[in-house]
Amino acid sequence: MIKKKISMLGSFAVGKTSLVQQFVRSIFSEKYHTTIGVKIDQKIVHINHIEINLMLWDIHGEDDYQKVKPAYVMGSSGYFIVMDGTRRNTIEKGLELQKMAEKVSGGAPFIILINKADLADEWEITGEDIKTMEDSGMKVIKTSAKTGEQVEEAFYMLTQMMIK
Amino acid sequence: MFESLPRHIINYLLEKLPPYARLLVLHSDMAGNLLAWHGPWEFYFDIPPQRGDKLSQIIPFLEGVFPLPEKTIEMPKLQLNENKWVDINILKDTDESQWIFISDCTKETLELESLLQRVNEKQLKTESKHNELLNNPFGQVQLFQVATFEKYSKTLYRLCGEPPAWLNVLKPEIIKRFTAIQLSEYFPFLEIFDAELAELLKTNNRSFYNSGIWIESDAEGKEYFLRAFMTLIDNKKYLLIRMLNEDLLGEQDTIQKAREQQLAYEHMAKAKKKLQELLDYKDKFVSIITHDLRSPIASVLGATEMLINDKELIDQIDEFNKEILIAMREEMNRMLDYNDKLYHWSNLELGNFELEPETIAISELLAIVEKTFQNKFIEKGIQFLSSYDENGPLKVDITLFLQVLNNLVGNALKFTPEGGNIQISYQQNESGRHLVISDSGTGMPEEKAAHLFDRSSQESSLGTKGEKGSGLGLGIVKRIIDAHHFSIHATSKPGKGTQMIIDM
Repeated sequence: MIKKKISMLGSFAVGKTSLVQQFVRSIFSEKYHTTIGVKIDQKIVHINHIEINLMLWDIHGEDDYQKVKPAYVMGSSGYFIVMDGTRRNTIEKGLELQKMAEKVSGGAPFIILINKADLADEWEITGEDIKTMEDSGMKVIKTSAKTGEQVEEAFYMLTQMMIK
Repeated sequence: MFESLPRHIINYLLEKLPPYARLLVLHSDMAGNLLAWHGPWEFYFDIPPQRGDKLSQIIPFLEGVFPLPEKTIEMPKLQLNENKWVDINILKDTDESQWIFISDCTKETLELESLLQRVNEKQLKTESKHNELLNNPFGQVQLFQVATFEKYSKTLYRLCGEPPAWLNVLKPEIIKRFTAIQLSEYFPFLEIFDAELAELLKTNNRSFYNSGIWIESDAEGKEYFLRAFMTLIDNKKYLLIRMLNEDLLGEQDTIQKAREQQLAYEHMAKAKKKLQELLDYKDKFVSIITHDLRSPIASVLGATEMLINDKELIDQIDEFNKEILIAMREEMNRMLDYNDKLYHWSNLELGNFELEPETIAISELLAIVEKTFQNKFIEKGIQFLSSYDENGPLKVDITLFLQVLNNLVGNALKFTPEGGNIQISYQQNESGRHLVISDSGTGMPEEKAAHLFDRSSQESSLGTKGEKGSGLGLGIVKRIIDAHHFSIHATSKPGKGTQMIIDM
């Protein structure tokens, strides 16, 4: 079995912990609970008959109170940049963290997850914003940690990109 | 309790003694007879101590201790009863009395007892005199929720001494193994710390490094916040992992609240933006409708005027129908005025206008106003007066500023009874330039006058002759005044008239 590290990065309250909990335990909590530090969960997946142990590093959200240490991203085979579709200002923080992760991980594959697809009526991130990111070569997926929409697909897609 | 103790005893407690739990302070004479006590006696004794009690009868450990042979005596971990252990410290005071400090050490004693029990059992089993459960260079740090590991190689560690309870809950398999282990297999977070350490040890001479915080969960999902520390002693490297749950509670609570507040603020800003969009949509809608309504209203008004001015027709119809035609003209005039005001108001709200300032003499401006209202002043028998300290000139958007004066004078006219007067005066003094429109009308309560311009629309009241209004006039005035960077306020009293003051 091979082991691969995936880092979850993004601004605070975008749903990083909820995405991991949905993927690993198929659970979701409406209550916002801020993450202090780093939490590591594991999930074994099978892709093309290969057994892979995914180590999911749920890293605290970045803001004025907590800064992400680049060392946390070291050794990542891939990473997610999570944004909150209902908060346009999470794009900027996400892209800033992506630049850092790109450098530290040595160009590991990544996917932008625009979370909270279940609140589509309240979205501030527009189709144009998404197109801009896609035009610059980024893979973007809309997810909902609440309903599970595209969550498993995103993790499998990133894993596939990692083992290519 | 501290307030009732002498200052030098408080100092002694603060300097010499650690912060003991449930501290009971007894004061006795040199023979050991109780003089006074301070603190939770009920935790230690079943019945309250009495002044004059012999202390050795209450606490048998004190038999033969008094009078104290030395300045201080320490008596640690004494079993007071079946499930209570105490530390006793005694101090001989300068005034020949004695202070006895009793504190609860039950928890630490039971933990130590359990450790020694396991040490002894292990020694009995292995017949070895050396026991690794006591082999921790930092002492009994497990009591402070710290696990100690000695670093053997880049990634291999060996547990030293007694492990803390949390390690037994989270990773019991580590405790069962006495050989060196790859610690990052159990705590993947430490992979990063190991890598960071390798770099730091190359470039720094510090003997202490700490990691970030990470979270582990037990089988029930309870979260344990951990932090690792690396330190060097006698050229050996030790990794200490500390459980921070209690220390972090306050910090986590603060961050949680700050972030919730930030989210609430973002939510409010979003709601405000949405509300503004809706208001703009409403103003745009009103602007379009009023613009389109203007032509049909003006046409009907024009047709009514034509009928009234048609002498032949007027002569043929009876008085009742004549009155209907005149009422129609008045109502259509009012509707047109109302529609125009609504149109202006919506455009002002939308910001759909640009000021075009021009200079105009005060006298000219006042003459235009007087001419506009001349007929109405005559109709209502109002005396119009105007005065100015200097003749300006003023730099204003003449069309919009006349709209302000027309609205204010129109209001004054509406609320001034027949025979009253309306005055416009332009004053230039040390406090600036002011244009004051005052009347001898019905006035209003001071409180109402103070908030007259707070809202963009007001409930319209009938004038002294039953004149109706739109309630939009003052909203329009305020918008135009703001656009000029002037300010306006009103003063009034019931029955004493009203003054509208424009500070320019």
